[in-house]
Amino acid sequence: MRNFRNIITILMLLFLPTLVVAEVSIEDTWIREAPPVSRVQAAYGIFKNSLAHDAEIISATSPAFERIEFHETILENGLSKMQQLTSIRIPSQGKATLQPEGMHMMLFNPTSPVSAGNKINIHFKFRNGYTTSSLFIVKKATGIDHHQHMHH
Amino acid sequence: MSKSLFITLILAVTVTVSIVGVVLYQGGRVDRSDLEKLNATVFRIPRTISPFELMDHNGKLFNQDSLKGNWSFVFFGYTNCPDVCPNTLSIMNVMANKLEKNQPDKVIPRFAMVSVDPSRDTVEVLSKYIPYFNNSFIGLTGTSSPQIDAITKQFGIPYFIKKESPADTQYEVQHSGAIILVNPEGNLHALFSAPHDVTRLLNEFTLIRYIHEQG
Repeated sequence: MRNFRNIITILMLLFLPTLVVAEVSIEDTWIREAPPVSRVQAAYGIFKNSLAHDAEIISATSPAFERIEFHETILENGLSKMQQLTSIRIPSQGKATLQPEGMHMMLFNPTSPVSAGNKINIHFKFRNGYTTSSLFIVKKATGIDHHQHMHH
Repeated sequence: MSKSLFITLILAVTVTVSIVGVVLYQGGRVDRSDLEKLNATVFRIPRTISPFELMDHNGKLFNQDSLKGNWSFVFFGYTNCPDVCPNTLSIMNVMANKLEKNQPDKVIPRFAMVSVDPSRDTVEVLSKYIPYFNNSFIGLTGTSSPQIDAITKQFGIPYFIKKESPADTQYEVQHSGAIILVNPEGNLHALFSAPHDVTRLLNEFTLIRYIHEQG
């Protein structure tokens, strides 16, 4: 009986990584299509964490971009500034919202042309070593306002 | 277009039309004191704009006189800006489309972006960037920062080129997200501070223009 419990515990530990990753969901993912000439663009989405502890994304990478950084647009003394963040923290039972003029991922130098309709895979690494990835759809967002991004 | 989106749009248009309608109906009671309640800062006496010389995205001279004859919305940004600038230009595009649709008897205002990063934003770069948002938008740049400062200083628009090293080509430019409103006489009329909201911008502009036209 004791052996059996040990086996169950070991099995649970083995599967824990998958269970943990499944608890952070990424929704409403999209990338703003870069206007011609621009080598930078932003990615947005809602990261939800149903775990009993905070989750922290420490890096994002994609084969489609040379480099990805976490940024937050802040308004300070009348200036819009981009503050680089070392990570994105998703509170336990909460969410982190990446949206225009707020927190976002800044995508540098596309490795090949990225245009509206493309689906881009972004790979995330968490503080505790777990990894996951999500598809981001590229949109030409010139005729829509914030509210419309929320329901699509 | 989804059904819920369509209903939201219809509601938004109805609410906007009603607000403007009520404001216009009360004609006699709308006066300058209403301007103080707005989110926008409306100058008591519109300010004269001192001479400046920029180039538009077609390479044509654009100066203080080019702002006359129509209302102008002027935003300051740069093309390597991933978030605030494309978002504001998109908001301006929605404004232009809504004004064209809802106020067909009025001339569509001018919409312009002045680059605060003239060393990267040449006329050629702007000629590819600006029409992406709207074919009638105007991109403005200069050959040096002092040329840009001639307009930003008098418009009260701060900006800061955050170049890490001389070799840095992907630097950030911190800048005001404000939109400036110039009246058809070519005078500085109002300032809308960021963050922007399309409906609020349209309602406030409609009221500002109405009061200005009443003299």
